[in-house]
Formats: sequence, C-alpha cells, structure tokens
Amino acid sequence: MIETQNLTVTLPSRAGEVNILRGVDLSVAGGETVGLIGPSGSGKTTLLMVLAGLEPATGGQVTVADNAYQQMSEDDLARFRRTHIGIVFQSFHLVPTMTALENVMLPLELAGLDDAQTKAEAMLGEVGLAARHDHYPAQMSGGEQQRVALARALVADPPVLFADEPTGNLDQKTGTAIMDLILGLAKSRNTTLFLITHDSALAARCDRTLKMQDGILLGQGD
Amino acid sequence: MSQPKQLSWRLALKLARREMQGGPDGRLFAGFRIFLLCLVLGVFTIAAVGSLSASLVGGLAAQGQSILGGDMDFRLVHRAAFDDERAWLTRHKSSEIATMRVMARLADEGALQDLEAQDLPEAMLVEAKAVDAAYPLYGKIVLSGDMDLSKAIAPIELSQAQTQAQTQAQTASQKMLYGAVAEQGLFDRLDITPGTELVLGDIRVRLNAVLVSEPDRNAGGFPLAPRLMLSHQALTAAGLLRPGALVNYHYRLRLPEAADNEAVKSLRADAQNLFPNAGWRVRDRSDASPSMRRFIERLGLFLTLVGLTALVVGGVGVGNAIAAYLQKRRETIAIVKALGGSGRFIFRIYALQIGALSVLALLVGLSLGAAVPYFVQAAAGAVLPVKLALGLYPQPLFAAGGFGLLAAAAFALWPLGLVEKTPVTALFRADTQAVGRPAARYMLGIGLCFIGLAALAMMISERRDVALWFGVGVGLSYLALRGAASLLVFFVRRAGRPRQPEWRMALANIMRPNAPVRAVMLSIGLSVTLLSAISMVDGNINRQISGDLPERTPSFFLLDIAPNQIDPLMTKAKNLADISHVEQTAMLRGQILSINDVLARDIKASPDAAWVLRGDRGLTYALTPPPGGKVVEGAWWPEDYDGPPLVSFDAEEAAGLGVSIGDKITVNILGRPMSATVANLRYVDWASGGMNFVMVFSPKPLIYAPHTYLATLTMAEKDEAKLARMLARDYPNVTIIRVKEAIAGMRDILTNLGLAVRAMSAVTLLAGIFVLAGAMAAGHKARVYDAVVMKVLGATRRRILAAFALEYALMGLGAAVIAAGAGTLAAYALIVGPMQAEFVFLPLTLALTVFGAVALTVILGLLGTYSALSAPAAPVLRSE
Repeated sequence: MIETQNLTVTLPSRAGEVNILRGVDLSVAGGETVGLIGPSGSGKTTLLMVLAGLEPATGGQVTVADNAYQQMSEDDLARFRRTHIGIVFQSFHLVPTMTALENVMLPLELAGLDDAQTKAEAMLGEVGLAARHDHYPAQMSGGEQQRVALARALVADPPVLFADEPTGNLDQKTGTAIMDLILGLAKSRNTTLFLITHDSALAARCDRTLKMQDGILLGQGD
Repeated sequence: MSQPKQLSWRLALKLARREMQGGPDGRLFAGFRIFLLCLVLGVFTIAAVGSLSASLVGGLAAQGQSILGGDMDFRLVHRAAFDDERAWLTRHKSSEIATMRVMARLADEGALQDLEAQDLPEAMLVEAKAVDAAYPLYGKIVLSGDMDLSKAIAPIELSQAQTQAQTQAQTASQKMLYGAVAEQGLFDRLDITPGTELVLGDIRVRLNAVLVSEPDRNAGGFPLAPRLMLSHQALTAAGLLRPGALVNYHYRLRLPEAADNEAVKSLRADAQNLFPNAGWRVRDRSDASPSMRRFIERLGLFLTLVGLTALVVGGVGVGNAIAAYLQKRRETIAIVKALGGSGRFIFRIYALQIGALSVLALLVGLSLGAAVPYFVQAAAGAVLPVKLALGLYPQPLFAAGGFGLLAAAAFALWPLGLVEKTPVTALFRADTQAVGRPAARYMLGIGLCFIGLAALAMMISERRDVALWFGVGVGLSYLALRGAASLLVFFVRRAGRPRQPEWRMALANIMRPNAPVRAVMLSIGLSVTLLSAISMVDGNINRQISGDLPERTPSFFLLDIAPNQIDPLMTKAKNLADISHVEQTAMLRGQILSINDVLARDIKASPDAAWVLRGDRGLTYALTPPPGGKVVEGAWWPEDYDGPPLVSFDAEEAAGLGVSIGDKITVNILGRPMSATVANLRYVDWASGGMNFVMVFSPKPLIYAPHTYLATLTMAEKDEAKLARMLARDYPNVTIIRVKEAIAGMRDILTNLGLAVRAMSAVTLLAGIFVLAGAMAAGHKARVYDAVVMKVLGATRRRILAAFALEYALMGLGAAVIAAGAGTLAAYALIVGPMQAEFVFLPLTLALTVFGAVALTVILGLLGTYSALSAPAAPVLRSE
C-alpha cells in the first residue's frame, strides 16, 4: 500500500543544507498497522508529510495505493487525498468556524458526495460524539476534538490513515481511549495505519514498529 | 505599609521606547506600515491641496497688477465713461479698453463658398478687445514673431490696386482694413494662418500675429471664445458699439510706485463719493481676479474635504493597525499588568508609542504636501493660469496637521482604551472575543476628536454649510456602513449553512471573530460612497449640458440685436429654417446699488444669493409674466400699468438677500440710478436653458433706455449652419452663440475639473486599498491555516480561491450597495439643493460603480490572500 525508495528530503538553511530524510526505503502492506518511533528531530513528521503528499521529497520515490507522487501536481495530490488518505494531527487541525458535523462532512463534500451529512452523522456516532454535532471546536475538550479529527479522517473510508502523535496533546486516560478508537477503527475497516509516536508502548500496539534516527529508518524498533 | 507610588509618564516613556526599539526582530515599524501609509496619505493630500491653493491665491495677489492690467480697474457696462469721470480717471497714467463678444467670419469669398458647400457656419464667436497705445500698463504682450502690438493692430494702408480689387468683392463698408491679433484657438478653429483677413461687423481685419501671451487674460473669468485684439479705432469703425450693445469699458490706472494699498483704498472711496451713480465695478491689484480666487478657494475646499474623507477612510486602517499591534503585545501587556502596571499606565505606554508614530507620519505628510507647489511649478508651471507664489504656507499646514492628529486620535482611542479594560486573565487566553467598549472617558475623547474634525473643517471653510453637510454626510455614511457590516453578519448567521463547502467557508469567514468585514465595508464603502456621489453628479451635469433634454435647449442665443432688427431678423429666420420655438426679450445690464437704501456691499446675503449683488446682471422689462415664471407672492402689474417702476424678483434669490414685497431696489442702468418697488416674487427655473432674469421690471421707463434684444431659437439641426451663415452676413453686429459650441467649451472645463476631482477621489480609494491590504495582512495567518486544512482534506487551490472570492464578493457587494445608496442620496441632495437642477437617476452609472467596487474588493482580497494558497502545508501543520 505504501512504498518508498531511497527517499530524501533536504532543506536549505543558513548553516548549509540539512538532510532531514536520508534514503528512506519503506514498504507497508494494505491493512497493516505500523508504528514509527524516534526522538524529536529525527524526521518522523517529515516522513509522514511526504507520505501524505503535503511536502515534496527532494529525491527518491513515493507510491501510495499504486499512485506515484512524482508525477502528480499539488492539486492532483489534493484530489488523491480526498479518497485515499486520512490524517490525524497532534493539534487536531479542525476548522474553527465549522461545527463538528461540518468538519466531518467537509472531505465528503469536497469529493462531491450527496449523502455527506448522513455519513458524517454516522461517523460521529462511531467515535461517540452523536450528541455533539452542532458544537464548534472551541466548545469541545481536547479528546473530543481529536475524536472529531479521527471521524473526519476516516469518513471518506480512505485505505490509508496517517496519525501524527494523535495523543500528544491529551492526558493519558484520554490518549489511551483515542488510541483504542484509532486501532479499533483501522482494524474494522481494514485501513492501513501509519502512526507516529514518542511512546514505544503505543507503537507496540501496532502490527509492526519502526524506528527512525537522524533521517534514517533503522528497521524494527524496540 | 507605604502608599504605592503612582507610575509616572516618565516610566511609561521608558517602557514605550524600549518596546519601540523592536524586540528580538529589531523591526521598528513592523506592523505599522499601513498605519503610517494611511496617515501620511491623508495628511499629505490635505497639506498638498491647501499649499497649492494658497500658492495659487498668493500668485494671484503677487501678480495682481499684471493680471488686472493695472493697479485699479473701473469697469462700465454698455457705456463709456462720461467726460467728468474720464477726467478724474485720467489724472493718473491710464489705459482704456473695450471688450465685447462679436462674430468674425472669413473675408475670402472663395473660402466662404467652400464652407457653404460643406454646410458649415462661416462665422465664429470671438472675444474682441480694443486696446489703446498705453496698453498694457503692466506685464507684456507676447506675439508670434516678436511683433510689436501697436504695429500689429494699426490700420493698414492699402495700395490703389488692392483697394480696387477689394471694391469689387466687398461691400462699401468693408473697404477699410485694420490690423488685429488673435489667440491660437481662432487660427486652429478656422484653419487659417497669420495674414488671413476676417470680417468684423463693418470692417475687415487682417490677423497679423498669434497672441501668445496676454497678461490680463484671466481678469475676467473663464473665456467663452478665443481672444481677438484690435484698436479702438477698428472697433468703433466696425459699427458694433451700438446703443445698448453689451460692451464692457475698462479704465485701468497705473499708480505711482509709492502708492500703497491705503492709497488704493482711498482712491476707491473717492470714486464712490465723487461718482456714486457711476455704476462701475472697481477692482484693485489686491484682488485682481476675485472670480478665479473664489474658484481656487472653493475647489481647494472641496478637494480638502475629499482629502478629509481619505483621512477618515485611512483612520479605519489606523484603528485596525493599532488593534493588531496590541493583539500581538498581549503577552507583554499581561506581564506588565501582572507585575502591578495599572490599566492607565499601560494605556500611557502604548499611547506614547502611537503618538510618536503619528507625529512622524504627520511630519512626513506635511513635508511632502508643502513640497507639492514646488513640484507643480517645475512640472506644469507653463500651463498654470498664474505663476505660483512659492513658499511655506503655515495655515494649510496647521490645518492638515490638525486634521491628521485628530483623525489619528479618534481612531486610536478605541483600541487603546480597550487595553485598559482588558483583564489579565483574558490577555493570557487565546481568546478572540471582543471585550465591549472602552471606558466612558475614551468614548468622550473619541467624540471630542470627531467634533474637533468637524469644527476644524468649518473653521477653514468659507462655506461653513458645505463643510457641515459634508461632515454630516461622511458621519452618516460611516455609521450606515458600520451598521451594514453588523447587518451583513446578522443575515449571514440567519442564512443557514449552505451545502457547498466554498459557500460555507465564505459565510463562516464573514462571521468569525476578528473577520475583516467591518474594515472592508468601511474602507471600500466610504470610498465608493464618494465615488458614486461624484459619478452621479458628473453624470447628471453631463446629461444636463449635453442636450439630452432637447425640448429645453435652444440652438442659438442671439445677443445685441438692435430694436429695429428684431422683427425682420425673426421673419427672415422663420422663412429660412424650420424653427420650433422662439423667445425674445429686451435686455439691459444693470447693477444693484442698494436695497431699501442699504448699499449693496453692506447687505448680508446668503452665500447662494451673493452673486446677485456682484457686478452687473442682465435685466429686462415685460408687460406680462415671462413664460414659466410663476408668481409665488404678490401680483403682476396690469398690462396698462403706467405708474412708478415696479420689479418682479426671483423668489429664491429674494430670500437669500432678505428682499420682500414692497422693498425698494435701486439699480444702476447706463450710469443712472433707477429705483423700483418689488411688486411680486416669482419662481425661476434656472436649469430650463431658456432666458431667465433675476429682475423683470415694469416697462416704463426702461422701454425708453437704449437697449438691445436677446433671442433664442430652437430648430432642427440641419438648418443651423444655414441660419448661422445668414445671420453672419445680414446682421454682422448680432452675436451668435451656438449653444452646442458653448456646451462643448463648458464640457471641456468640466471634464478637466472632473479629472481633478476624480484624482482626489482616487486618493480616497487608495486609502481604502491600504486599509483593505492591512485587514488582509492581519487575517493572513488565519487564511493560510484555512487553506492548508482545506488542502489536507483534498480541496484544490481553485476551490479554496473560490471560497475566498465568494467571501470578498459578499463583503464588497454589501459595502457597494450601501455606498451606492448613500452616494446617490448625497448626489440627489447636491443636485436638487445647491445646484437647483432636476435629478436624474442613472442606473447604469451606479451599476458600474457597484460592479467596480465588488471587483476591486475581490481582486484586492485575492491578491492579499493568493500567497496563502501556495503556503507549504508542513510548517503550518507542525507549528500549530
């Protein structure tokens, strides 16, 4: 489902070029859950951004669901994300001026689906927020906002779900509940999950754990 | 426990300085570019207009002698000075000049036949000016080829052969040939070169040179036709100086060098005392061209008021910039408050910073504005009517500085006042809810600043009523637009949640806290209010003067028709052309000397009616009320009335002069005073395009005074040239004003004026654009975030752009509709009120203005947010 070959990301800086990713080769099968751990600045989030088509790679190749990113424009990638990729961020990134329901409806509407509302309501029900449809993000707790973000990421039934530190802004109890939800939904929908976390215990709940250091994928983590 | 020490202004200044040094990024003016631009632009505009206007008026005063053509000018209408008057006038070095409008036509029969073949009129209106050898007393006449004026206008000796040749071609009265010079315009219009001969009444003149420069050209206001200068001998020989003909005789005096203004004043008083009934209009070098001075001052005032609008529009940007700056300083403010700084102390810290920046902006604006006359003199000095008197004029600079300071304070006090009211806890939260109004003392301060702005505008205005109404108009528009912004948000809230995400995002962006809706509505709205008002007035004037109302606009005005000519002329005209409407009336010119024995100069007239007392006015006599002249008070005299003189007065002007039925009006006609009792007041429609007079007298005794007739002819266009040719040949003394040509001349002047006004409105629009740019910059971070999240969820750039465009279009439309309404209302008030014309609603003009405003908002908005579309997603997603 996810393939990278010799993936590199190099960014210019005043002190010279900084190699964020240094030849990452990765292969994730469909329906597999993968946890990626590594210290801050090791390149985990950059790898996720590249895999989600949100940041261009400097070199190498990325293929997700048989689509090679190198040939795709920014707008092609946006259209691809609508149907193939869901993302959950540490900071939720909900649209503050839209209600929970509207946030969840958004990817379906962008994809031009007619039954966006019905599906979004059902999805909010799946994450346990049936009663909070009309609430704005600012009116919800962090855990609730992350549930909305998860519902939004999965509502279009994408084959791939990326999660970047989804519990980083939550307390332990809420974090555990959110992780249960993510893993449960991924399994039930046979969604490929690529999870980034600092917490090796969380990563260990995935099918496979990878470790990253200084832009290099070290293989099986602890 | 000791009493806590009051935190001083000195400490506030210290902290303010520390903060202004820029913090870690070291950028002194970061976040204040729009603030500075708005303030500099407004102050610069007002200072520039004021300085330029003062330099022009100063130039008029400095060159008073050459503009007037002497130290003093005595003007008589219809008649030359009587012997005793002339004797008194010529005690000093003097020059006599006669001016009148006459028709000139080509003398060459071949050329005339060509014109006839092409069905073109062969005569052209010229402003004839007969001068003596002493002319000009001041300044210099410049002719092409450096020709000498006295030589150029001398009678021309013809050889025997030439005389014989001409005798065959010309009538006997046109045998004499005189020299003349004319402005380039006449050469261009007739397509001729120096050496060409023209027929002028009973004489022929040869145009020996082009009149390049005439120092006293601007003394008489705006000319209707090109100047033709000739000798007194020639004008007399032309046979145009008939009794009652509309001739202005000027007697100019050159006083000794030592004669100061007091001497001029005393001479003026002597003239009044010695010849109280002369009826002359006296001007002196200190105010050589009052009409031009008034024009410059009024245009200056109008443009200053437009500049003030730019300052008010810019004020919105000032307020926004300060609010955004204080928002960024929330943490600092919170810390200072937490450490014991009072609200007032914090207000001082930021008031000092804003004050310092305002003073900087004022200094820049004032310096640039004061430099404008120097720039104009260098770049366009040659085309100016007078040489500018360059210098530093403190009055307009003080006014501009005052306006700038008051506007900055008015718009800064709201956000500054809120800082004091905001609690520490709220400052620490990422809370964007508004915190209500500032304390009462700040609200009072804001109110006082606006009252100060209005008071200053009225103080510098000759027409306080205009300044007052302008202020009321701007104030009401401002409030209407603020209200409209709230109304738009209200309606958007009630509009529900549309299904299309672009629409939902657009509506949501309008409703969100700190949305730019108010800034956009006010900045674009105020600019468009002004623009739509100007477009509407401009469109109405164009419609009025371009003959869109054909039934009201005559084809010709005929002046100086001798009493024995009027009947044959009319018969001939009717036989020759298809004439649909004729009006004719006797006309004289006279000056109001007094009303109820109060001298005209002592009468306190309203500004709208003061013109009636200035100089001489056309007047007539009639047995019956003139057509369209409805008597609104009193009664018309019986047709067989034979008693003492009665007069019918224009009701509106009568109100402005305080004239009522039974009052005694004394008028000077042909050097003689004549008193008449006001018998009735009547309504006069000045916009009718017909013949209108403020005063219509009972026939006796005017019927016995030498006078001429004025006639208007309304006819089919196809016959106009034919009729003009007949009149020029058979009635050479009759002045023909072709209404279309006069309108074209007027339109040229109005077009140029319109350009100046539009240029100033563009300044207001520029201020609006700055404000909009500031509002866009303030919301840029939020837009980048929106764009990135939308992209993450699969939105293409086109769809994000569409959502932004929709948002801007909705705001622009809201602003434009309110502004178009307010602008139309202002234009209506202006046209129906002071301009006394019929208001015509011009939907196309208004629709174009609205469309332009919406397009401008969308384009500017998208330009401001386009970069948000290309912002990389990763940094935004990481940093949040």
